[in-house]
Amino acid sequence: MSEHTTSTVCSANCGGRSLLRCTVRDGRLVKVEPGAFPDPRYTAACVRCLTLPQWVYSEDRIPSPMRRTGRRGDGQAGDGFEPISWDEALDEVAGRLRRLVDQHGAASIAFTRTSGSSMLGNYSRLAALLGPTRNFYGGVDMAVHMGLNSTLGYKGMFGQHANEWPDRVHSDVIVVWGNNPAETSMTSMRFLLDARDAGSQLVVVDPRYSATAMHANWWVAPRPGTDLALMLGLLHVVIADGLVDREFAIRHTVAPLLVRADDGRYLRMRDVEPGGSNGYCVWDPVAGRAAAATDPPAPGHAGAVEVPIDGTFRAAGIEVTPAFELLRRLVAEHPPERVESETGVPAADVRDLAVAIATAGATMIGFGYGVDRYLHGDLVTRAGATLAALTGQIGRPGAGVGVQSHGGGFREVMLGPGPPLPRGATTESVPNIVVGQRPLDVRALFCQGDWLNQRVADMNVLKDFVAGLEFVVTVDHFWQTTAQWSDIVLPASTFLEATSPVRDVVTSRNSVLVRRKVIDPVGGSRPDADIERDLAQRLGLGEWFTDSPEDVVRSMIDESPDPALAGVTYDDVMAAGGALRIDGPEAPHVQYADLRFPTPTRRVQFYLEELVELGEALPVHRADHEASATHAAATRFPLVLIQSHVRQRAHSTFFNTPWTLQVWPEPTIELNPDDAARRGLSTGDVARAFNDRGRVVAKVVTNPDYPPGMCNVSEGWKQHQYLDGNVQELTAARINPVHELLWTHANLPFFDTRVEVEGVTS
Amino acid sequence: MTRLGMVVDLDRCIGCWGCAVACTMENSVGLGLWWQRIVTVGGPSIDTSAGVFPDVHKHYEVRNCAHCADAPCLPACPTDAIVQRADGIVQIVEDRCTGCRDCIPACPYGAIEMNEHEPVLPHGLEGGHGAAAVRPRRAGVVEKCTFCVHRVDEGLDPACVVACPTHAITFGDVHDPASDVARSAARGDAYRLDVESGADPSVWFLPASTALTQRRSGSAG
Repeated sequence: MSEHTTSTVCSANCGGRSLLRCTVRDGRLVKVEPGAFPDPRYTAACVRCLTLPQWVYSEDRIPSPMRRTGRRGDGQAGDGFEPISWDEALDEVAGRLRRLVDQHGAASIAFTRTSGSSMLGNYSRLAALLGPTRNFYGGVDMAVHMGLNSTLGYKGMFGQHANEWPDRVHSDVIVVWGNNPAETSMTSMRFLLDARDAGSQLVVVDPRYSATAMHANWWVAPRPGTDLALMLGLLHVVIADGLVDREFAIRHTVAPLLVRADDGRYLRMRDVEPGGSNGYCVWDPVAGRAAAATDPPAPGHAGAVEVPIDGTFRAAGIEVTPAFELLRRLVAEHPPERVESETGVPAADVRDLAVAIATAGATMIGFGYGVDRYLHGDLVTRAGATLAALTGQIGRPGAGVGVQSHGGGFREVMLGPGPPLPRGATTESVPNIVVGQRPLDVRALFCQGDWLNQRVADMNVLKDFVAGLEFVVTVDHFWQTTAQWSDIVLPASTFLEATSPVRDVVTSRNSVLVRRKVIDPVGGSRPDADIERDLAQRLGLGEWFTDSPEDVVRSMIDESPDPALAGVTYDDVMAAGGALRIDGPEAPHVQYADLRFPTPTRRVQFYLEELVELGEALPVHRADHEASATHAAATRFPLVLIQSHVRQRAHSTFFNTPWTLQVWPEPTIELNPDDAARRGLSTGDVARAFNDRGRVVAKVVTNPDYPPGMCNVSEGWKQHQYLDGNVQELTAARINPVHELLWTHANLPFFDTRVEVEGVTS
Repeated sequence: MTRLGMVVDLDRCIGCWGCAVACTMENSVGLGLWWQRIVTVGGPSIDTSAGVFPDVHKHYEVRNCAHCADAPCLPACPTDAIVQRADGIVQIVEDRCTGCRDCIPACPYGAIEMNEHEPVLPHGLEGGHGAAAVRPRRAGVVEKCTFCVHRVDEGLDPACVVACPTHAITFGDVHDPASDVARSAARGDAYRLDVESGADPSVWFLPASTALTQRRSGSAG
């Protein structure tokens, strides 16, 4: 018997990046434990990583390359497929892709990817060189970042807004909003519990009683999809009750910047002075005219007189109003009594929460992706960032605002770019197109993972689209829904398997983490890097794939431009066990501690002039989304359907691990007991959730954690696990034009879904 | 004298089953059996609350062998297959177990599992997984939590303690007043299950007090 341990980094898309100590006995992965993280505060693993030994040897693994023999989409888990050799499969894929490029151009092929299989970075070089259609369907988790980015100025997606998790202990009040780390980011939940046990007030805003809400000092439960109304009510109270930190607002937000009444644009100096600059303006109350807003912002007092943020003025004949005054007028329409009628949160509690946020020594507002899954997720985080900034609760230990996902909030570390690409080839994303809504000459799909099950809404429309394509190839570990709709299926090794000593490198939690080989490829699978190289060679692009994964990782570390990695080499990281802390302060990272906000105005920008035409220059109230009680669909489909994220899966990864399937064996439709009783349903009955787009059939669980009018089918089950249908048949692919303007990218509103539920008699 | 014990802080338990899966992996527990499980204290189904929205309540309780000081399973065993070490760990001696099941109802905690058939182990890991020192049991014998005795003897915490992502489980010598586990067990609100049975269990719980005192703002209307 031989036995050794190797550490690697989890690759599942919870964002957690746990360091895993893997025990390999006689070549088999037999145990996974938390590995010793370079920063011991992050030594942890969750139930998902613990099932990796089952996951990697699952019976669902695709045993060899496969060619479809039956009808596309028929059957389950490999029915209607025949095994073929790797050479045959790669020749066929390369040949089909080459013909499509020659006859219809590279844009006739769409590359799609999910986080559930392969490494996200794989096939991006091939895509960059081929130039296919990419990102052609829309994303998820992006609207909340669009809202924060546009307000706070961060330039990357999925970015750094929240303070680092261990900073929570410095917060007097922590508002966890639409975020359920107890069930989604279990290794980060500890930091909330530590803070609560040290005396922070933990407030959880969630329409349902989640495992995180269960541990809160205060659970605030707005009706689903009414987060924006609640946020506007909080802003109302803060402004009406004089709780604004005016000094902070004047110095660091757009509060004093003058906005033109005629066109909604910020007033510029050139508007009031011939030959004036393009600079923004404030009102000089002494001189009685518009004056240049200094950049960086000057102290809030021009001499002894405060720059006004209220009122309306005339500058060079133009009526102008400070942005704060516009916001004040907006939120004046959202008193707590109105908010109560919309959200169900009592007016007195809206007041109390606003006061708690504004008056605490330090308040952290941490969002999750629950608020992202509605059409106007960006407005919620815009209003939230505005609330934090106007109360001065940002940029200090314990104070901040942002998405507190697993993956963000740390010091950022830049790795080197890796091997070069030819001029013009780019791995950057490109604007998206949504199937059925834009002209689209896509004839083939190259899918990584279970795109059809996980990354599209309105699944029946998408099935029709896929059924009509000329060619579909899927790279995956397991037989999943999309593989079943493919012509050729290529079995990829998981992140644990490799033919080289390392697979890739990531940075997270202030550390450089190398993903090392743990075991040899399982069954007939091959690592993605090998598949990508072999395809590229067949497409005449082999010259761009001469570096081994180890060469790439070495160059990315050794050629990092980041001062925090100055002098650090690949060999150093490997000598440290594949995980090395960067050179940086011990104290938890505080985002925006320098109070520099890289927006166009260099301020927290709650007024976005580019959205004037779309009516959303301010975070206005919107109730046109499907979950809204006033939506036309509400009478026929009275229940809002969410898809909770669950402990045992990261999206759909780990859908097939028997240890957790013993605990949570099948999809269920959860709903309030009164809603169930009205439909004659009890726990264990089989029911159908349906709307005009589709249906899903599953067992009912009655649960008072959900308010009346809301139901849940957790995300990430596979086609064969439902009794019938699929929860993604029910969702809508509605595009918000604001998202396209802010980020050239649509965001799918998966929770913005109405259904009716009825019993099914077998 | 050493008395090994465990304190589970239910105010930090999130019901993730990480402890139970780590236990299963470490000890090659077959599918269908659990040495440790998480009970939802609330509604009748897993993860559901009791009560009426928004006045609902649930919390999680971790259950495993309590390694009782006066363990009722010991005298219940007709073949002396259940033994107790000086440090309190209660063990089943597989060779002596006849599978009579007399111990199962004697346990107040439902902690003893019967191997009705050969253990069902995951695809590809049929030879067992986890610790090399712990081999899968055979059909016809009972099994249960050992406090990971093979780890304890190497100075390590049990697998469940290491795996818990919220640090809800503390393990050690409850007779050592300087230990974390002794301090937690001595807390005024610490309690044990079914003490009236006289078993003198070595697993303590700290109550899920936040859930009981929390403020709620919502409406069922």
